[in-house]
This record gives sequence, C-alpha cells and structure tokens, in this order.
Amino acid sequence: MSLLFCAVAAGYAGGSWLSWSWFGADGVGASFFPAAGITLGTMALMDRRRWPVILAAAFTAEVLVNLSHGMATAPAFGYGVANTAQPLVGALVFARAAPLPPNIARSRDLAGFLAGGVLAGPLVGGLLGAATNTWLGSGDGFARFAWEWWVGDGLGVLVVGGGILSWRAASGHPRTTRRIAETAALTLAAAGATAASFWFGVAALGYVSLVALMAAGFRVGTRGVALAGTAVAFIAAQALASGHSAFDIVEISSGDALVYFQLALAVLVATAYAVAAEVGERERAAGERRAAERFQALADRAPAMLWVTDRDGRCTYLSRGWYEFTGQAVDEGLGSGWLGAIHPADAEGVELALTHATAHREPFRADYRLRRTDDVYRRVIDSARPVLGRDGEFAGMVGSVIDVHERIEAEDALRSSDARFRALFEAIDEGYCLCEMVLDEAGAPVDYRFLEANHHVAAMTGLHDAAGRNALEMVPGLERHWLDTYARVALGDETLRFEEGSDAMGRWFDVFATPVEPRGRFALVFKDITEQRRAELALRESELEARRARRRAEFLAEVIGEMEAVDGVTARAERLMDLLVPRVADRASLVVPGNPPTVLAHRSAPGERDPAHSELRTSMETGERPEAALALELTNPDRRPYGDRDREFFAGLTARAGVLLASARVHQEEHRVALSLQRALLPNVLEVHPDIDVAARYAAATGALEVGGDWYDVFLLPDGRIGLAVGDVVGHGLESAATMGRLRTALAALAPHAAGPGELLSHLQQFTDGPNGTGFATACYAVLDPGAGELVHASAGHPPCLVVDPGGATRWLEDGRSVPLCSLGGTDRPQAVTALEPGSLLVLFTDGLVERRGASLSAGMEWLAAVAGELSDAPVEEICDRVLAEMVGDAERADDLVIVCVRYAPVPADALRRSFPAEPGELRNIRTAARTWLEEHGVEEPHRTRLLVGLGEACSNVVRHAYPDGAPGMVDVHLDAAPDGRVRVRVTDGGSWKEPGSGAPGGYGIRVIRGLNDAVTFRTGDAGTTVGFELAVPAPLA
Amino acid sequence: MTEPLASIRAERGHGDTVTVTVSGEVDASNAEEVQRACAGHIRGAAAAVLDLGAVRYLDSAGLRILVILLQDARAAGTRLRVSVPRDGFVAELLELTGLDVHLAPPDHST
Repeated sequence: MSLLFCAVAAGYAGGSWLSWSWFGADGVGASFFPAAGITLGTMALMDRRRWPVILAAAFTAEVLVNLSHGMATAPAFGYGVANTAQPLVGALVFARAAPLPPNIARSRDLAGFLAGGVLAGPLVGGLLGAATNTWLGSGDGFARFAWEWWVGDGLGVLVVGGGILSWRAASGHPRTTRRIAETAALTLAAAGATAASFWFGVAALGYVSLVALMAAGFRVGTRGVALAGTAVAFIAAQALASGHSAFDIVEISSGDALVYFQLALAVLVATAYAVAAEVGERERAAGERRAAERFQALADRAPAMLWVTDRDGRCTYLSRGWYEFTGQAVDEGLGSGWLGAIHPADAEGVELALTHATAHREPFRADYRLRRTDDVYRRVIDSARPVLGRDGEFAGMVGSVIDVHERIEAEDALRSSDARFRALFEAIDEGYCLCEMVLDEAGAPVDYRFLEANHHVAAMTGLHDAAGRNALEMVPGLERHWLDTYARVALGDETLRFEEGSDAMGRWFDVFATPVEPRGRFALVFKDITEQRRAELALRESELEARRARRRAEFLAEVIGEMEAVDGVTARAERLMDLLVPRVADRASLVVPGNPPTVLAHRSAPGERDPAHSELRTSMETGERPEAALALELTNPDRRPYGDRDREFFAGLTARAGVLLASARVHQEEHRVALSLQRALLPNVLEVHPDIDVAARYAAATGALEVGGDWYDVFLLPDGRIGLAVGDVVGHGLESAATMGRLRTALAALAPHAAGPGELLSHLQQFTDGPNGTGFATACYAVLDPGAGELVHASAGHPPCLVVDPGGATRWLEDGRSVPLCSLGGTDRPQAVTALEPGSLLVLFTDGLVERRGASLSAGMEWLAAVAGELSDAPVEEICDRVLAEMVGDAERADDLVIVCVRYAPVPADALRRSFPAEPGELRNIRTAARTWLEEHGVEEPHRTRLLVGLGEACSNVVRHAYPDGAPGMVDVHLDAAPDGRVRVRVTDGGSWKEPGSGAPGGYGIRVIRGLNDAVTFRTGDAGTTVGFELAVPAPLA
Repeated sequence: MTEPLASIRAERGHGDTVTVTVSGEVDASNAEEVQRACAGHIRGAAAAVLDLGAVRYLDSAGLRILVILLQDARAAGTRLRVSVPRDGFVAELLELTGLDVHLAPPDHST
C-alpha cells in the first residue's frame, strides 16, 4: 500500500516536475502534463479499493511540487484538488464504458479510455484548474487556462496512461524479436523526425513522425503507439519549451502553437491507437476463426454431436454429426433453430435449462428426445460446459449430444413395467403371472387375483384360465402363508425369491415375486420343482437311511465284539443285556421258554418300572430246544417305538448273538471234553500223601489238535514212599498217546517191585517199543521217602529235576542219568540219592517248558531255576501257574509241556486229623475241635475266625453236596502248623460228584474261603475232592 | 440235646420298630431256623434292626438268610438294617461278598 503510494507519488512528482521545467521565461509553458497519465493509468489497472491511495499520492505530490515552486498555499491545494478530481472522473467514466482493468487493444476499451481518461477527466480537471487559477491564482483567462489544461492533460493521459495500459494489453501481435526491432525503429523514426522538425525547422519531417506513429499503430499495436507517441510528445514539449518551433510558417503565437500542436498530436496518437486496436481486433478475430475452424474440423469428425453457443446462448456452431442425425440443413440449427429437432414436449425445458446454465456460467445437462432423420425420436443425453474466450471472458457453452436410446430403453425395461415383464417372460419357460392383492374393508389382504398368466401357469399349477380369478377360489385350501408372503411383496414392496410347498396344491414351487405398479400388484415368476424336491427328499432319506444302517452295523459289530470278549453262556448273555439296555431298550430279557422258563439274563434301566409302550421279541438259535427268546421293551414315552426296520435289525442281531451263545456253549462243552481227556490220560489225584503238596500243569502245543506225548504221575508206594514220574514220548498223535498210556501204567505197576528208579527205568524200556519198534521216550523217576526226607532219582535221557531249598537256593539233580528209553538203551541204568530239607521244592518238567525258539536248552533251564528260586515260598499251585506264565506266557508253543511241583512239607506230629460224618449237625463239632486246636496253638483273632469260617464253608459244602445219594459219607479235616507260621487246612471228602469238577463250593462260600484265606486249592478226583487253604498267622505257634 | 447253637432275642421299640439280636453261631445246620425266628419278629414292623454284634460264627449259609430276610422285608415294606461291628469278621464277610452295600449301610454300623 505504501509502496503503491510512494511509486505513484514519485511518478506524479516526476511528471509534474518535467512539466514545470518546460515553462519558459515568457510564461509560455508546456501544457503537456505526463503526470495525469500516471494517475489515470495506475487507477485503471488497480482495484477500486486502491484508488484512494493513488489519489492521495497524486494530491500530495501535486501540492508539494506546487509549494516547492513558490506557489501560494490556496492555489497549490486548489490544483491538488483539480488533479485529484480529474483522474477520478476519468476512471469512473472509463469504468462505465469498459470493464477495468481494460484492454485498450480492443475498440470498446480504447473508446472508454479516450472518453473517460483523455476527454472527460482532463475536462473536469481543466475547469477546476481554471477556477483555481481565476479565483485563487494570478487570474489568467478562465477559458484559455481550461482549454490548455484540457489539451495538455489529455495528451499526457493519452501517451503516458496509454503506455501504462498497453503494457498489459493483449495486442494480438505475437511478441517476436522482429516486432521488438520494428517497434524500436518506428519509435526512433518518430522521435528523430520530431526532433529534426523542431530543431532544424524542417516542418516536412513532421509528417515522418505522423507516418511512424500510424505505422506503429498498424504494425506494432498499442504498445508501439504509446512508445512513439510518448517520445514525440516529450521531444515536442522540450523543443517548444526551449524556443524551437516547427510552426514558423504559421502565424500564430507560440502559446497557441503549443496547444494546437498538442491537440494535433493527441488526435494523431488517438488515431494511431484506434488503428492499432482495429488491427489487433482483426488479427484476433482471424486467430479465433482459425481456432474455430480447427475445432470444427475436429468436431465434425467426432462421432458425437457437438455444439457451441455464444455468450448469449445462441447456437453458433453444430457439428456435422448433428446435421446428419437430425437431417437439419446446415445453419438451420444455428441460433435457436436446433430446438426444432427436439421433441416438442422436451424442447421448452431444454431451452430453459440452457438459458439458466448460460446465465450462471454453469455446466448443463439434459436428457431429451431428439428427432432422427427418419422421424424417430431417440433418447439422448446432452451435456455442456461453459468455456472462456482468449480474453478470459465467458464465451459461451460447448456441448455434446449422445444417443443413449438403447441404454435408456434397457433401463426402462428393467423397471417395473408389467407390460415389459409380460413380454419378457412370455418367452421363457417359467410360469409368469401378474396378480393383485384383494383387500378387505380394513385394508388387510384376504386373497389375491390373477390378472394375467402365461401358458406355463396352467401346466405348472394345474390352474386353468387363472386370469381374472381369485387364488382362494381356485385353491380353497391354499395355505395362509402364501397370502402373507405375497402381501409383503405387493404391499411391503419387497422382492422375494423362495422355495415353498403347498399341500393344498400338492406341489413345490421356486418363486420369484416382485412388486409392480400400481401398488397392490405383484408379478410372479415360478417353476414347479415338485419332482426335483421329491428327488432331494428321497436322496436325503436315503442318506439318513445309510447313516442309520452304518450305526446299526457299528452297533452289531460292538455287540459281537463285546460278547466274544467274554466266555461262557451266562457272561455273554449278561454282556448282551448290558449293550441293549439302556441304549436300545429300557428293559431286556433273554429267556428260554419252558415250565418254569429259564431266565438267561435280564436287565432293566435304572428305576424303570413303567409299562412298556413298545415291545419287540425275537427268538434266538442257541443250539437248544426250545429256542431262547429275546424280548426288548421301551417304557420311556419319549423313545420312538420299534418299527419294522428295528425288528428286522434285531432279528439279525439276535441271530448273531445266538450264534455267539451257542458257540459259548460249544466251547464250554469242548473245554469239558478236553478236561475229561486230560484227566483220562493224566493223574487226577495228586493228593497222595500229607507230607507233600503237589501241583502239575499240562499244556498242549499251540494249535495242536492231537494229544501230545508228555506225561507225569504221582503215586503212593506200598511201603509209604511216594513215586514221582515225568516223561516225554517223542511224537504226537494216537500212537504217542498209546505209548504214553502204556508207560504210565507200566511204571505205576512196576514201581512197587523195582529195587530203585534206575532199575525201574531199565524195565520200562520195553514198553516204549511201538508197533514198528521205533518208539523213543525220555523219563525221569524219583522216589521220596517222606519220613527220611530222602529222594532217590534216575533219568533216562530226560532233563534233570530242579530242587529249590527252603532258602531259595536251586540245584539240578544231574546224577543218575542214562540214555533215553529206546531199543538201543542198556539194561543197567544208574540212580542217585539226594536229601530234601522240609520245605524244599522239587520241580519236574518236560523239555517243552524250557525250550524256546532261538535260545539254548541250558539257557531255558537257567531261566527256570531263576524263576522257581524267586517263588520258593509260594504254594505249589501258584508256582506252577507263575512258572508257566514266566517261561511260556502267551508265546506260541511248538511242543506240549508238563511241569510238576512237589513241596516236601512233612506234617508235624501235632497236626489235627479228624474225620466226621458229613452231616449238618456235625459242623459245630468240627468247628469246636478246630477252635480248640487253634487256641492251643496260640492263633489269635481275627485269624482264628477266618480259618474257622473257611473250614466251616469247606465242610458245609461237603455236607450239602458230596453225598447226594443219601449214603452217609465222611469228611476228613486236617490242620497243621508249618514252621514258618502258616496254618494249613485241608478238607477231603470221598464223595462222588455228579458233575466232574463241581466239588468246589459255589456262590458266597467260595468267595468267603478265598477272601479270608490264602493259597486256596480245589482238587477233585475219582476218590473225592480236597479243599485246601492256608493262612499266615503272626503269633508264634506253640 | 446240646444247647442251641444260636439264640434270637427281639426288643420292640417306639412305634413299629423292632430290634432283633442274634447271638451264637449260624451255620448250615441252624440257618433256616434262625431265619424263621428273625422273620417272625420282623414281620409287621415298619423298621427293624438285625443286630449281629453277638454272632460268634457265621458262614455263607448265614449270609444267605440275611439276603432272604432283607428281600422279604423289602417286599413287606419293612426297613431292615443289619447292624454289625465295624471291624468284626461278619463285616469282613459282608464286604467280601459285596453284601455290605445292601445289608449294612456304613452310617448305621456300630
């Protein structure tokens, strides 16, 4: 702001100073006043808000310059006011004629400049200045002063102000080096000619200046005119001020000459400006025309229709596309003629929209129907935007028109026009119908009416001639949900796609429902999917069935697996019940019919008492007559009753279970047969002498179907000694079994007569010879004298016996050995003697026990010695079992085997041995005797009662079962105390049991004996049954 | 004839309760007799206690009658409890045979 003030003030002061300096001594001054041009030029370029600054600067500079030249204060300020009012009036007039800032290269702006800046402003200034001069100053002639002021300031504004304005004006001339040189040359020519005409008085040279000025206007434009004019004006002013004159030929005063010259110059410069402006306008127009031509050429080639309007909205151009599309003649559409091609209903709106857009210089967009050359109206989109001309002014609109008929048609088709729906869907192979909701008085949907239906509707719904009829009229039982669904569509404006079935119609549909105008109508596109649906349901059902079948198969497998896991008919039947209840039944029973029926097993779900609501019965093939019946019952009302499939399944399951029960029965039978066979071939009763405990095991080779050749025997010799034998007949099958039987019988028969074991084995050899004389056997025979604890033993090719001393030390009876029993054997076989301490264990065995694949016989024997040594204290039965488990386990056995464990345990002299009649009344007597013996031996509670109860149970069993035929029998009771603190009890009867092996007590009895005592054994033989047990008692036995 | 192996004594309590005390020995020879005697006392009672604290001997024949007595009592609607010394051999027998759960609830054992 202050910069502007200073610049304007300095410029003004400079211009004013020059003007002062040109006043001659005669008072004739150069009225040419450049400062006026500075003020007006600056104001014309600047925003009006800056005008006060410019005016203040001019006023201040004027007043100061005046005062500095000794002018009185009043006129100094008066001229200041005049020089302030002058540019203000000039600028205001200028602004009315042309928008500021101006472009004086344009005719309009130049006219405003001349009218306001050059003529009006200086006129006002001149009048004000003259008034100041008349009333405040020296009082020169008012008119003359005003006239000179007007001319001088007008010229000042013209050349200086014009110069300032022309610098920013777009001349239309390209600024090239050639132009600059031309400008300089013309300016110099004008200046030179002017100077020459004044200083050398060559008036003719003045015309050169004139020509140069005009040439500048013509060639270079306003800028050139301003430069040349300024130069001429300054030089002339300087020349005239210094007394030179080019007007000597004219008889006028120098003052007049000055004014006239300046007036002429002003006219000249103004004319030059006008020439420049005109030339500029023409060149500009030519340039714009060239650009427009280029645009047209471009636009005509473009596929779209383009148009251009001028700033008033009149169409000035339409591209070739327009004419070709509309068929309008060239220029027919210009102005507002193009509206004639627009549909009459649309034309007015389009015109209004364009007028509005033009007035507001806004983009324009319209969608209307345009008549094509074939008189068809096509939907088009017309869009335009405002464009600015070269001068930055709004120049009109440029727009383009696109034929979007197909697109809009397509969009319309997508909208809800029932006509189009119909056209569209008549062609497709789905049911299509247009319906209308039927509402009651309250506006609630109660039915819907078919308005139209395509020919598929009848085929897909069975509803013929649906159009015009109501849904409920045609399908009286139509489900309410259809109505509700369609009400959502028709009244709720929803579009739905769903699959739904109608029982009333007996069909399934895939429905697309959409609302259509007017409200309350809806269109349906649907397909009958009943078959597809049925297929799906069938598939689902079959999948379900497959799953069910799989579950059943799994259940069946589980039943079979679980039943097979246990042995015995009862156990399997019980297991079956466990599996059935509660999983598939609340109650189940397996019963063999009869009078009374035999319940094999029965099970109820816990707390189950309700009557059954569903029952299932199947009979079971268990190998018995009559067949067992499996009954299943469901009592829980929540469970689905048994169906046909269940009956089928359980029939199958029962058949399988029946097989398993039958096989259990068969297995039990086989086992019994096997036992019988073993008992037939091997000794039943090992209970031969109270001083020894004997246990033996025979195990057949794995998978062997025939009887093996291993055997053993324990018997009492007439002299009270005990014979112990074990042997192995090589080979299997009947022949071996026969040889084995012969050897056993022969040994037992010959034993009392042989001098010793060696001699006996020698005699035995002849019995090994089979039918072919190829027999081959090994045997070990020992005789124990229980009283002396002496064992005489001999071995014929048999593995040695093992002795485990009471402390656990083991030794092999290596002596007394000879070759196997065969035809090559000699008759003189050795024997050996060893002493057995009481409590010693003797182990006899066949090689099957110590033979193992991949290990030597000696390694197996070492292993046996180690195992037996560990077990030295255990009861013989336990030793047998554990040795077998350790040595053989579950491994495959290639050979059969025998193990016989003999504990040499001489009965103490103070043992209790009593026989009682096997009668219930005797039980208390037996207990009394035993209790007395136990008390005498210091056995305290609870051991005493434990032993008594065990004894009582064993005797009670004998009393109840041993002598069923009524013949009174006896029960032998034996109690003794071993040195190691064990009380041993044995109860023996001489009964004959109906069932072999059934001499053991059952039920609670066996549990009681086993629970209260240790080492419980049962042995049943032809001569009766022995129950044995023992109990370690803590107190020292007396 | 020797003295009876076992003796049974019944004591009526409040209401329809009865305590039957068995002492002596119970075996196959006298089990039925003991059962009948006890059943006679228990019959008609709402609740009964069978006190075996004084039993010196009892085997499976005795266990069997306990089961029968209990079943009969249940059928008749009588609450029968069997009382045995906690560390006695009868308790041991009952435990061995699994009858303890049915015959002598632990919280009533004395």
